[in-house]
Amino acid sequence: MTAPPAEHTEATRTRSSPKRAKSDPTRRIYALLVFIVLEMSIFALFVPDFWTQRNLVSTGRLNAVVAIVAIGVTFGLISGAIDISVGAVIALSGVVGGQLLGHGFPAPLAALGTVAAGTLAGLTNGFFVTRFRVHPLIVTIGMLSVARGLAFVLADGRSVIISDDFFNVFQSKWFGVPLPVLLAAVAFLVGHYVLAWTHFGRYTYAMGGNDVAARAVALPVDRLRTYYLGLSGGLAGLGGWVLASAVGASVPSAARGTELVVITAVLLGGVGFSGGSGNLLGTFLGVVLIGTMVNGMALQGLGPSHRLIVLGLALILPLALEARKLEGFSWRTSAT
Amino acid sequence: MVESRRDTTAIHGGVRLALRKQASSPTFLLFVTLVVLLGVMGAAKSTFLTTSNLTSTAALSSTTFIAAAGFTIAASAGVFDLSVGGTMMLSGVTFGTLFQAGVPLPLAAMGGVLLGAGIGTVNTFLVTKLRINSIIATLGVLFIVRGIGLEVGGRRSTQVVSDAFRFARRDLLGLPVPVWGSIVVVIVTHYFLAYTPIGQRLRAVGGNPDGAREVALNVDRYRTMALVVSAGLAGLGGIVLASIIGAIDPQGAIGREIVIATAAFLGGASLTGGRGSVIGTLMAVFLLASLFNGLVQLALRPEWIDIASGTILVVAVAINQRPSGGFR
Amino acid sequence: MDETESPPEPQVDDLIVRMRGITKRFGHVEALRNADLELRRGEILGLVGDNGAGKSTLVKILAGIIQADSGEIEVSGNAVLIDTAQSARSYGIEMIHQDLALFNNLDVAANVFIGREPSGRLLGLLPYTNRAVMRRRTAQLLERLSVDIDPNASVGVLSGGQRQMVAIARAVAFESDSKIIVMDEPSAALGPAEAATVLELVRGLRAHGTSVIMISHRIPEVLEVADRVLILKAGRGVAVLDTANTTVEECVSIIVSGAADWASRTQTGSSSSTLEQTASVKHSGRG
Repeated sequence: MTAPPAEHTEATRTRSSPKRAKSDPTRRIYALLVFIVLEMSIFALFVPDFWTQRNLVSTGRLNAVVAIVAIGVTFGLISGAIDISVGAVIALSGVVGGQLLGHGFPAPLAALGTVAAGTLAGLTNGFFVTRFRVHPLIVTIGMLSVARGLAFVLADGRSVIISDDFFNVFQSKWFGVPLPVLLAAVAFLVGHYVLAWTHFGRYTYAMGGNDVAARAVALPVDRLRTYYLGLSGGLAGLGGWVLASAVGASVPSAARGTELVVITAVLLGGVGFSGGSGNLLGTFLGVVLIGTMVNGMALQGLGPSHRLIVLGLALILPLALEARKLEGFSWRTSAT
Repeated sequence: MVESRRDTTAIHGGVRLALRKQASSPTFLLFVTLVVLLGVMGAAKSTFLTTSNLTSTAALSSTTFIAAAGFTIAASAGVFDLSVGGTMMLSGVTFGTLFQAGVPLPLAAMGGVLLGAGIGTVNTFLVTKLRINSIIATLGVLFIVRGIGLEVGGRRSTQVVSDAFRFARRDLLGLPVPVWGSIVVVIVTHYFLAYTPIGQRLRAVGGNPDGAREVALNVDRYRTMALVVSAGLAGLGGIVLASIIGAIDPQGAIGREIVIATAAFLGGASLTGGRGSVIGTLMAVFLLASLFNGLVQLALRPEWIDIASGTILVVAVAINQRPSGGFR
Repeated sequence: MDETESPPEPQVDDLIVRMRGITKRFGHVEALRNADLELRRGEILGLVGDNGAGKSTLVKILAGIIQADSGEIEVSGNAVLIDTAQSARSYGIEMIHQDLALFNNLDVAANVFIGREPSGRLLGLLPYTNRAVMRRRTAQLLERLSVDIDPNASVGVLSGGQRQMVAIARAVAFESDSKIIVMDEPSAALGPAEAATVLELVRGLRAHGTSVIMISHRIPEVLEVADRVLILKAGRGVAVLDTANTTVEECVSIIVSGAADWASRTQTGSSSSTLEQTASVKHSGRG
């Protein structure tokens, strides 16, 4: 009597639970590129007003803030620390800038103030994560409320019009390109360099991939994590300046829900939820894909409800499609 | 027989041990915090500690608790269902729509719960078959559900003019109906998690999924159970909520998942899975609701309430999770 | 002391487990190629080999966690089909995994009885876990293993050696049912004192009539405690040695060289004929 031919069971993976093979980031990038090209072609052909300079410029300007903030969130997430407070931090920073201006501070200082405010918020997140060992998701959810509340408190609930030329520099175009887009491009280039070529950047992968091992080789994990969250906040602060500048006002209720768009874009771009993989190119493509998708839908008259559905699909579909690529994997549930 | 004497001693020992365990458990700390908080607020504002205020707070937060109990069960199995807010809304909307279409109340309610279970099934598919991280999968489902709700129902809520529909506004033997709902749910879910073999295995799956497979536990089956129960209870909560509001609200329970998750984590759940206490969650829900209620009564502006609630969330979790070590 | 003649066949009822011709591949990797294993009743069989030799895979097949691509398994002379861990248990096979499969969020008693909790029905309807019984039986088990651990302690706070004890307690909890215990690297993560306790325990199991397969990379320990040792290399057995008749050096050299000719020597002159090769056996004259 012979044993029946092997049935692959999930428990066949003797090593450990069926982990998703760290999804090959290159694969994801190719897939994103294909989707972007497809999508933009469809929109260009079928959606009126999409492929116009005016529309592209406006979309670019709108999504520049998301892009800049996504850079910081990428650093954080790769290192294993999710930052879901960015929307509120954007608003808070903008408010700080507006208040500084309102109290007579020179514009450059006010601009610096926005970035500083964001960085401070990020460092606070980092402090609670490393000192009190609270999970970053919980800390940043808390910061989401606190920063939003602070924004309203500092602004006394009101939006403040900003008319300073220096501060509002992001309303202008340089070489025909809206300044926010240029800034985002520069930020991505610098960010990519830091992430891929410096110790500071590369340590995110080490920490995200295997926290215990990182500590074992004496990486200052706690300090680094605080810095990454600080960076995330700082870039959110920068985004706050860009937003307030482009809009010409500091609005305490700005950027509500932006954190969800940012996180979706970063996850879409290939950064795993538990960190250790992904890169900025992926994030960039993720931002572009979601930004243009939302834009195209808006031009077609599809409202927030459809946006939400698309966001949800953007989170799920890439992972669903990749699920089939695991080798030797079977859908069978484990023994019994 | 010596056996029986040993049994009695064992039982006494067990009880004493249980009491000692309680004193250092997060649930106990939470209870103490709750009592202290209530005392402080009662001192600050006399209208706070009245029976009517407390019962109305309890009634309103019951819908949150019912959903949070489901979330806690799922968290014990290592699965985190962030779609609960959306499920609450959609179930409530289904309930109301069915009822308005003439379906008898109990059937309409069942329809709502079934819809919840249906969303749970979708979550299950994503998590067990497609192996997507439960946080991401349920977040995606949340977006989609919210989008559907918005698309189908718009931003307006429709009143359902019917006394039968508003059954949750009534009192039963002195307690509001929703509070009875909470009582039933807490008893059933706590018993399930703490005293049944299935509940224990569910917690094992949450604590060590690899190990669970090695001892021949069907991890997927328990995760399925977790997600379906979570969504089903969220559906139940949504029905009660719809009944209290007395309307079909496509924007219902927005952001509720954050409160629910907060309460579950405060109550002892952990992102590393395997832990969670329904009783702790109950106290946490009531704590948060009382806190919010108290702050409102103190006429604090909403922004200060935001600041306070964010800070309290982080601080409370920080204190509460001392025993288990937290995030590294 | 050349043994070139084929020794007589062992008495079949000596063997409590017999695995023959087991093959298993994972994708392109052939983890086991026609591997054999024989476990005699009441013995401790050491299972050694280099990394990737297939030791864990082989025993996991026996324990029902994995299914072989081909091959046969016999328990007490009867051909059996082991397709799940449950069915392995039904044949009296219990396994203690390398990672122990313990649950830090549950207490010791819960860990011991996980999946097989003694339960009853309240009012004939509601299932409930009989914790008093679990606690009592766990305490008895631990006492028998001469370990002092509180059944109510959370497993998360136990030391490595204590955790190993809990895993062993789980394996022997249903001893009347389990006749075969498989241990995957039981002392790997333990210090000398704790490892010694574990080994003593393994001896105790044998004294109770249990047959044990012990995977270990600590050859000295294996030679100290086991009766025979099976050496695997690249997915198949290359030698079965009587531990009394061999040394650490010899075992290691076989592990490393995967000697193409097999050495199969036992004290009494009878050997597992299935592991015998007809070609002449060379050995370096150690008796």
